[in-house]
Amino acid sequence: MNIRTTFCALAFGAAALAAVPASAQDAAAFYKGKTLTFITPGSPGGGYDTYMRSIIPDLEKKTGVTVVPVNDGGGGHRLAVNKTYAAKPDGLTILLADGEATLVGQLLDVPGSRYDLLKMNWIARANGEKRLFLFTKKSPYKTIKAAKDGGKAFKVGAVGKTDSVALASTLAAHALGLNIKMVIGYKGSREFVRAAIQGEVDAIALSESSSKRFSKGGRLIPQVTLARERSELFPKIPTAFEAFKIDKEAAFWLDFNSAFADVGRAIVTGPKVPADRLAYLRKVFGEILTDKGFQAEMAKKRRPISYADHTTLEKAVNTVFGALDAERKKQVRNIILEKYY
Amino acid sequence: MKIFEIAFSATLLLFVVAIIGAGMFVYNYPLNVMRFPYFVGGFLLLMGLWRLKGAIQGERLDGEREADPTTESVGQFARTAAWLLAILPAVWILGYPAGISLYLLVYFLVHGQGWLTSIILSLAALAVTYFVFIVFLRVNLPLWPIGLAP
Amino acid sequence: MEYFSLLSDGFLRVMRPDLLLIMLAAIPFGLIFGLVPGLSGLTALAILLPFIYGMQPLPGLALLLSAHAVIYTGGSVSAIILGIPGSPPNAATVLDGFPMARQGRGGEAMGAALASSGLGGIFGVLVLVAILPILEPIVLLFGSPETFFLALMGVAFIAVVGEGPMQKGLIAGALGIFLALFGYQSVTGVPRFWLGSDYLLDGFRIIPLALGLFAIPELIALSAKGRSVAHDSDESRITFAQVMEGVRQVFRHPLLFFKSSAIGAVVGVVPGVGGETSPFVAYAAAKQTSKHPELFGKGSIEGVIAPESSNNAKEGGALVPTLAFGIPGSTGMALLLGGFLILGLEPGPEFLKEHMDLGVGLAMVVAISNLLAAAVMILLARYIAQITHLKGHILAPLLLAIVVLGTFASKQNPLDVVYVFIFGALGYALKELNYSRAALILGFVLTNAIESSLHISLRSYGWSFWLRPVSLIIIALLALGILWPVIKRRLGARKGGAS
Repeated sequence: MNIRTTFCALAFGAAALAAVPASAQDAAAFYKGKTLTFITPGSPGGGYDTYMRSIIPDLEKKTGVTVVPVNDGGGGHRLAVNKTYAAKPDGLTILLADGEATLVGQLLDVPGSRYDLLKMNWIARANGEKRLFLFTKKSPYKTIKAAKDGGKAFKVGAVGKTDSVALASTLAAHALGLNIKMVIGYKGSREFVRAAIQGEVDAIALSESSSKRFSKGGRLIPQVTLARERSELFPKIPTAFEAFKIDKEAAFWLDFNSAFADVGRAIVTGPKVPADRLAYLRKVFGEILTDKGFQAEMAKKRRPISYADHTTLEKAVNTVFGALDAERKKQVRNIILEKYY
Repeated sequence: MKIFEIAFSATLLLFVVAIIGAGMFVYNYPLNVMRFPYFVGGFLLLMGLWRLKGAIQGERLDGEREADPTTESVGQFARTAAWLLAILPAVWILGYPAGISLYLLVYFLVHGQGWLTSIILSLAALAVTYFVFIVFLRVNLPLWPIGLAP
Repeated sequence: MEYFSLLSDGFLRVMRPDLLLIMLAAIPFGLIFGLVPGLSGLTALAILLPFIYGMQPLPGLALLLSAHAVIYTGGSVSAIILGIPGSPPNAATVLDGFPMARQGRGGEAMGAALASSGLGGIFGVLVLVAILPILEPIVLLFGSPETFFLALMGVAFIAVVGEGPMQKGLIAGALGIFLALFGYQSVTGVPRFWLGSDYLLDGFRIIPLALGLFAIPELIALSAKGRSVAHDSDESRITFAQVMEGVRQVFRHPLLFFKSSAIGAVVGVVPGVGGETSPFVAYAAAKQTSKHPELFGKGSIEGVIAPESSNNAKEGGALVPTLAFGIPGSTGMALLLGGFLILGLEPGPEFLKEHMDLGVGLAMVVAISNLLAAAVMILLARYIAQITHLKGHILAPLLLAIVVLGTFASKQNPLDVVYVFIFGALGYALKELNYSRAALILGFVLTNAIESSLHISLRSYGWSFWLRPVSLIIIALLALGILWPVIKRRLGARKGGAS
C-alpha cells in the first residue's frame, strides 16, 4: 500500500469514527428541549397509561425532552396507531401500542385501521407475557386433556372477538382441537374472572401475571402455558407442546399465537424516522426498561416489565404477516371471527 | 305545535329507516350484527308511526303538559340559534382564546350591555380559558387563528 | 357490635391532620368539576392521578376518593340553578330542581339536594361497611342476567314513569338506545353505522349528547328572551333560611330518603349499571309512591330528594365490586382502580382479607367527604343561587363558552363541539314536544350493558336465563314499580267498597 492510499484510508477511517458518535450526538442534541408526544390507547389509570406515565420521568431525564402524554383509545386502540403512522417522521411522536389489537387490525382489515406495521419502526417492548389456559372450579371438565377428549363444548370468556384473550383462546383451541364456545361482551379481564368464578364461563386465557393473581385461592386452575417454554411464574404447569402431541399444523398455530404475545405492549414510531434518532430512542428505552430499580417499581404496581428490543418485535411482526398466504389468511379470519361463535 | 310534532315524528322515522337501510343494503351487515338494531329500530318505527298518526289526528296524550314554546316565533328561534351557533366559526377561525373573548364581547354589546361590562367579562373569559383550561388542565386548545399557527 | 367497632376504628384511622388536609384540598376540586357543565368527574380524577405516585395507600386513595365522592354533589347545583346536569347522573335532578329554581325556590332545592347528597353518601357507606365481610357473595349474586334486567329496568322505569307521556318516554328511551348502537360493539367486533368517519368508530359520545340535550335548550331559552332563570318568581333574594328549609325537607321525608338511598346503594353494587340508573330509578319510584305524583316535573321537593340521595349512596355501593373483585362499579371507580394499582394494591377476592382496615378507612373517607362537601355547599348555596337572577343575555353566552370549552376538554376533539349543537337541536325538539330527555340519556348509557349482558346471558345460560332467583326478583320489582298506581287504585277501591 502506498502512502497516498494509506493516508486516504486513515482519513476515511477517522471520518467514519468521527461520524458515528457525532450522529448519536446529533440525535441527543436534537431531542434536548424538544416536545415529544407519547400516545397510549389506554385510558387514564389503566395499564397502558400506568406504563406510559411511569416511563415518562426517566425519558425526560435522559433525553431532555418534554413529554406530552396523550390518551387515545378510540377505534379499538387503532386510532392511536393511525395517528402515529401519519405523524411527521421526525421521531417526536411515539406510541405505546396494544400489540395484539394493532396486529389483528391490519391482519383482518378491521375498519379504521390505516397503518402498515411492517413499515413502522419498533423501538422496544415494555411488556409481553405468555398466556395460560385456566379452568374454573365449576367447569364441566377438570383438566384440559379431559376437555379435549370429552368433545362437549365448554365456554371461554373474553372481551371482544379481536382482543388478546379471545385471540389466544381461539387460536389455541384450533391448534389443540378443543371444542370451545366463546362468550364475549365482558368489559375487562376482572369481569370475566368474576364470571368464571360464578360459573358463567368455564375457562379463560390470561396473561402470566393475571393468572398468578387470579388463581390465588384455587378458584381458577392453570392448565397449560400457550408457548414453547414454561412460564417462570408457573414452572410446574406444562406447555401445550409438552401436554399434547403437537403436529406441524398445530405448532404453526401455537407459534402464530405466541407471535402476538411477543409484541405485547410495545413502543413504536412511524415510518421514515431518521436512523440516528431511531437508534437513540432504542438505546434510551433499552436503558430505562432494563433498569432493575425501574423493573422493581413496576412490579410493585402489578405492571411487570419484560423487555425485548426491536429485533424481537420485528421478528414477531414478520411472523404474523409473513406466514400468511391468501389461504392462510382466510383460515385466520375463520378461526378468529367465526369458528367459535 | 302540531306541525312540529308531525315533522319530528316523520324525521325520526326517516332517520331510523335510513340507518337500518344503510346497515342492510350499503354495509351488508350480517344478522348477528343487525339483530339488536332490528329489534330497537322496529320498536322505534312502530312507536313512531303510532305517534305520527296521533300527531296528525291532533291527539292529546295522558301526561302531556300545556304547550309552552321557548320562542315566540320561528324568526326569534332562528335569530337565537344563529347567535349561539356563531361561536363555532369564531373559535374555528380565531382560535379558542381569541374566538371566545371576541364572541362574548360582540354578543354583550349587541344585546345591550355597556362597554365596560362587556370588556371586563370578555377579558375574564380570556383569563379563564388560558389559566384554567390551557395552563392548569393542559387542554390542547387550538390557540391561533387559522393560517397563523407557528 | 363488630360493625360499630369497625366503623369507629375506620373513623379514628381517618381522623388524621394530613388526611383531613388532603380531603379538604380534594373536595373543592371535585365540587368544581361536578358543578361546571362539560368538565367531567373523570377529568378531575385523571388530573389527580399523577399526584398519588409515591404516596402511601390511604392518603393517595383518599385524594382520589374525596374528589370523586362529591362530584355529583357539585353536579346537583348546576342541575338545579341552570337546568344543565353537571354529570349525566344529575339529569334526574333537573326534572324538578330546575322548575323549583324558576319559581324562585332555587335555594330550597339546593338545600334539599345538598343535604340528600351528604346524607345519602353516608348511608351508602354504612351499607358498604355492613356488608364488607360478605362482599364477595353479594357481588356474586349479580351476573350478566341480573345486569341485563337492572339495565332494562332503568330505561323502562324512567320511560314509563318519568316526565311526559309514557308513549313519548318509550320513544325517547328507544331513541337513546338506537343512538348508542353506532360504533364499535364488543359482541360483534364490528363498528356499526360508522359512515366511514373515525369519529363514529366509537359511536356518539356522552358529554356532547348530555350537554346538547340539556344545555343548548336552556341556552336558547335564556338567550331568546334575555330573562333570568328565576323570572317566574317575585323573590329577588335567596336567603340562607330558604336553603335551610330545603335541608329540613329531607328530614321531613325520612321514608323517601331511606328508600332512595337504598335503591342507590343496591343498584350501585351492580357494575356497569349503577352509575346512571339509580337516580332515575329512585326518581321514578318516588313518583310512583308519592301522595302527589302530579307535582313531579313541576317543582316537587321529593323529585329532588330522591335522585340526589340515590346518587351519592350509589358510590358506596359502587365501591363494593371494586373492592371485592377489582371490577369497577362505575366509570369513576375504573380510574380509582388504576390508583390502587399505582399504589401497589390489588383489589380483589384476597384484598379485604389483608386490608379490611384500609377498606373501612376508604369508606370513612367517602362519608366524611360527603358531609364536608354538603356543609360547604350549604353555606355557599345562597350565593351560588344568585346566578338564577342573572340576566339571560349575560348568563347564556358565558355558559355557552363554558360548555364549548368543557366539551373540547373532555376528549380534545373539535368534532365533539359540533355534536353538542347537533344534539342541541334534538334536545330542543324533545323539550318543546315534551319527550323525556332523561329517558334518552339513560337508554344511551345503558345500551352496552343491555346488549352485552343479554348476549352473554343467552350464550351462557340459554333462553332460561331469566329464571335465576335474583333475576326473578328484579323482574317482579320492575312489574310492581310500573303497575303500582294501578294496584294502589284497586286496593283503594276495595277498601272504599268494604267500608
